[in-house]
Amino acid sequence: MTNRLWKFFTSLRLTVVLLVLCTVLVFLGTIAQVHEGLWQAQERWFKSFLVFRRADDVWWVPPAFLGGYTLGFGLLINLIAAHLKRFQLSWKKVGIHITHFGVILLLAGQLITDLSSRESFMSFAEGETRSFSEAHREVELVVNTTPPGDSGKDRVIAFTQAALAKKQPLRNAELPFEIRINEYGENGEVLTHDGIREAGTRLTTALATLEANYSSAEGLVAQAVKGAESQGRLVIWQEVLKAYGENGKDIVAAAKRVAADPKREGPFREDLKRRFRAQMLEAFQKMPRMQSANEQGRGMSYVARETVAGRPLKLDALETSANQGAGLKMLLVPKPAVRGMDEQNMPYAKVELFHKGTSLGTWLLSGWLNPQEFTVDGRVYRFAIRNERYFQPFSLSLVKTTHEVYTGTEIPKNFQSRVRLENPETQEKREIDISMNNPLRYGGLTFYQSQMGRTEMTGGKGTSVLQVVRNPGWLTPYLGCVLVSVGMLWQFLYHLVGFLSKPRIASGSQTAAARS
Amino acid sequence: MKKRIPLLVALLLALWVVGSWRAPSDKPGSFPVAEFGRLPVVSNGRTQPLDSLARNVLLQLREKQSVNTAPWEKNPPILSASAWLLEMFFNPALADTRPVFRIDHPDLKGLMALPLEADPEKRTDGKHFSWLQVREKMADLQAEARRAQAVEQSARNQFDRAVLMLWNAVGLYMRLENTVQPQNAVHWEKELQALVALAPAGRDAAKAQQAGQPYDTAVLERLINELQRVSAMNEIDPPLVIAPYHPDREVNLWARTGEAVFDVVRGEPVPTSLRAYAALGTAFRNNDPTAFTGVLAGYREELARQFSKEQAKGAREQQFNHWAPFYKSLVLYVVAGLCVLLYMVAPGTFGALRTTGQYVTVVALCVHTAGLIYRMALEGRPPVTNLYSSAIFIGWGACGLGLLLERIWRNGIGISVSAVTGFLTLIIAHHLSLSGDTMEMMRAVLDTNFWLATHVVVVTLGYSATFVAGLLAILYVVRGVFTPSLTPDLAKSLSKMVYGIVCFAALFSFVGTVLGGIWADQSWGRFWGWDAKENGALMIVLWNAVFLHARWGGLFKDRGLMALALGGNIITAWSWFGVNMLGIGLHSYGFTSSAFTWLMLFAVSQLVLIGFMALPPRFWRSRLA
Repeated sequence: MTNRLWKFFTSLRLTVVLLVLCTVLVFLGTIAQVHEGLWQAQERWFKSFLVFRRADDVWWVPPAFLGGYTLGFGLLINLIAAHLKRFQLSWKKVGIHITHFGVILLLAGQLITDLSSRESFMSFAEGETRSFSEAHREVELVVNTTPPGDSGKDRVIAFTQAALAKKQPLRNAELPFEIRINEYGENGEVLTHDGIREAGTRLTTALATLEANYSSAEGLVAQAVKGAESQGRLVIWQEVLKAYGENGKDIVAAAKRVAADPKREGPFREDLKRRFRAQMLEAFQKMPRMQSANEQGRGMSYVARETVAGRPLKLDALETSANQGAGLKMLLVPKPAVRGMDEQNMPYAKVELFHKGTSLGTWLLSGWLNPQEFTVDGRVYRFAIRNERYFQPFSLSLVKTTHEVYTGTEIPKNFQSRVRLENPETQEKREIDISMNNPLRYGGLTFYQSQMGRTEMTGGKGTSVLQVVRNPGWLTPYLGCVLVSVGMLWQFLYHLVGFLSKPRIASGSQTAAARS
Repeated sequence: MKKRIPLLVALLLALWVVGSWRAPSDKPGSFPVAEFGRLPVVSNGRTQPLDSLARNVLLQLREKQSVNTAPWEKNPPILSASAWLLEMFFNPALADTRPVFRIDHPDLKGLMALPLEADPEKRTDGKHFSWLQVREKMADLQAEARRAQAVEQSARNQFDRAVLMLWNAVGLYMRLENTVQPQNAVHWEKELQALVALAPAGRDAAKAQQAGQPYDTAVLERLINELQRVSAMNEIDPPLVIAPYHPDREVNLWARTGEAVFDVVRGEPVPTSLRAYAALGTAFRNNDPTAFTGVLAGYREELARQFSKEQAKGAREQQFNHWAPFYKSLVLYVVAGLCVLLYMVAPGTFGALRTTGQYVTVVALCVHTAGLIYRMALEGRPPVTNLYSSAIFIGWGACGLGLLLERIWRNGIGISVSAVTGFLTLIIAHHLSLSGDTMEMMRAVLDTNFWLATHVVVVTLGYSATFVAGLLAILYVVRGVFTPSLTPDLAKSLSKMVYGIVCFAALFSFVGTVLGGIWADQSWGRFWGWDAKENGALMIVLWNAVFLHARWGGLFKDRGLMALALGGNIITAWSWFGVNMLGIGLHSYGFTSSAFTWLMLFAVSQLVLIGFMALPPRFWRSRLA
């Protein structure tokens, strides 16, 4: 049995099968990106052991397939086993050994990268200094206080997202209180009561107007005249008219005919109303996509969702999320966590502070909200949820940003950030340019030019976002590449020299001669 | 003597290529068209001669680099691109009668109320139409273009695409007519002088109006009317013909005519280029070649003071356009292909044709190489910068490999590889060039000669080699199944060739792919991101590895390995073109439906050939053993 297993794992047949499966997997995983997005497809096809068909998949997805990890480990085992079995040191084989060792290094390096690399970003405006980078997704709960008598330096105590998710009480020796997590969610939207009330009033008014417009047969013709003016309304009119056996070319004339028919006009008006109501609610819901950070847009989307779900709007008695701080006038709407490339979760927590066994009240914390203040034992504290920060022993200051385009076009020519690096430990103090294709490698981190802008908020100053990557395995591909290239070159040259040094008859002229 | 014929043929062809180097010079007494075409202009983000601008627009308008002014006649007069541009700039009324818009789709002709068939009586060939004809139904075209734009790229039908092509052509045409003067200018030099004279009074009136004091309404109104006309010019983004005229400012760039006019109205002196183009227009309208030549010479001299580099580059690029080395090597590849085809039909009778084919291929490769180097020097870039140049380079690499094979085996196979790949890739390149400027500037992230020279070149050579292996497999199966000419000897040498080429392909595609990873690590901080193009390259590497391991392990015999090489064709074509059409990832160039159709046809043809390869040997016309 072990013998057969050994034979299986060392066979060249397995290599070929695995390589063919890899090719197919890469193909499927590429096409999948069209529907699933890069990040999703990558997790599902390449960073997995098995891929199963899901109900919402496109037709070509097979019922099951081997994932990238299975194939990668399979190749790795196959490669190592085959070498253990067949290893022999000879000039003829040395190229193959070097090549395969390089491939092992590449596979292993990719695994190290997958497991240990960390991406974060550093975002600043000209003149600002940062000694930390921020996580893209992970958040932390921070408590911030100014100890009395000190040099005025803030103390910051941070709790990780993992600690929040466990919902265990958060304690720290420097804090005279404990924070209990009553509720925690990976993603939630925070809406102000005022915003909801305003949006609710607008929606109710709009729905009432709609109701009034189509309340009588007489009003129908006037609405048809209005309907003919806009393409969106016209389409709805035409569709509903069609269902009532009317020609929709001249909707005003058709409306007159329907209005004159007591049997049809009642249900006709109801149908029209239903269609317009649905359209209005849809438009309300889509609002935040167009104006994502807009308070009003979010409120409108919320009230429309509630109305569609059939829940009555209680504008006078809106729920509060906390009895202290900003949450007093806020509503929290939990949302399903998102995983997409461009989507952002907004984790939230409803917390309660306890001091010497008594509750100080409840607070709502969320990435949406600014730090909130409270006082314990006469000292002021601020706390908030924010993106997790990774501090470094050195700092970068943005000196100048350069953003060039080709003359007369919008094609970007060059993005460049000039930064000043200061490290008190090593006494370093120098300026460096970071641009596309020219990252800064320092302190085990690599800083890449990512985005660049110029915002009103910073007074017309240039802003820059650097991608910060920690990848302990970054050297392996370089080494692997060199090894594989050298190995292959060796092997092929070895064969080529052997081939060319053999005497050969030109086969073409030989056949030609044979025929003539 | 007979032995020298191949050499003689090759020499004659070489002479033809070298002889066509010299561009026709301007005749004294006529308009100096060539001299005019050398003037520098900034379009598409780069400095180029007006000649290139005209040729690129014409390619998009009518798929040719010149204008046939009466395609319904037997021997119609032909306008060169620069001569046509001269009319577009300075005599729009005449230019508007030239049939430069090519329209093939019958429904589109119907929409535009254009004649469907050729009819010399009505002065039409049913394919090419003038601005005056197209203009009639502009509103309908605009409505259709709006509708077609809203349709998702991959869902557009032939008609939608034809509409959008024409709409794009209309935009290009209007841009050219608004480059040096407003489209509706009658006597631009005079109008410009009047505007300069009006400016001070106009500025005073504007200031007074803002301060709420009495002002000359008539003057202000005239000024505003003039400026509206000029700002309409700017809005359609015409090419930048005005040389920088702010030596004292930090930002001193090429500008549009309209922008310069605005500065003049603000009180700045009239820039040299603005004045020169206006004077050129007057000379052209007066049909006065002598005056035109004088103004042009004076302007070029003034430009030379600061912009001699731009002028020199313009001249070089014009020379390149004229010489058209890739077109010439295309012709040579066809000649070589015909030679080797005849040779294969009867190797005994046409023995000399193999040598002829070989020599011609060498000439073709030399011209191809010269073209590549010229292009690199013009752009200041490594050979591959976009899809167009990748086609040229893949052909070059494959042709070189073919000649190498021929040198070793001397059986005509190598020449056929060179001729076929050279021909096909240059045809593909020609079709890619129809979408506009092929020397476009590189976006910031691609703007690195080091990586373009290493990663891109190496990975593209990997494509070349994989295609060569695939083509050898095609020769194998076609000659084997349909002719008795695949002798065991030939089969053996073909399989050796394929093996050698796949080794080369594996090395180059692997190294190229990993270099790409390292580039990505340098610019985005990740070595491998499963980007569509990266994956395509990886698939080629994996497939070549499959071939090599299957051969080493003896899992497949000759025919099986040949079938794998055919599969390599599909994978390489997918990686080269397919992934760009998915509309995802960092290398997305958009969906081109005609390319998609060809890609599908190619893949199906390869699958059919694999099917033939699977036929048991008794169905083959050649006896394999």
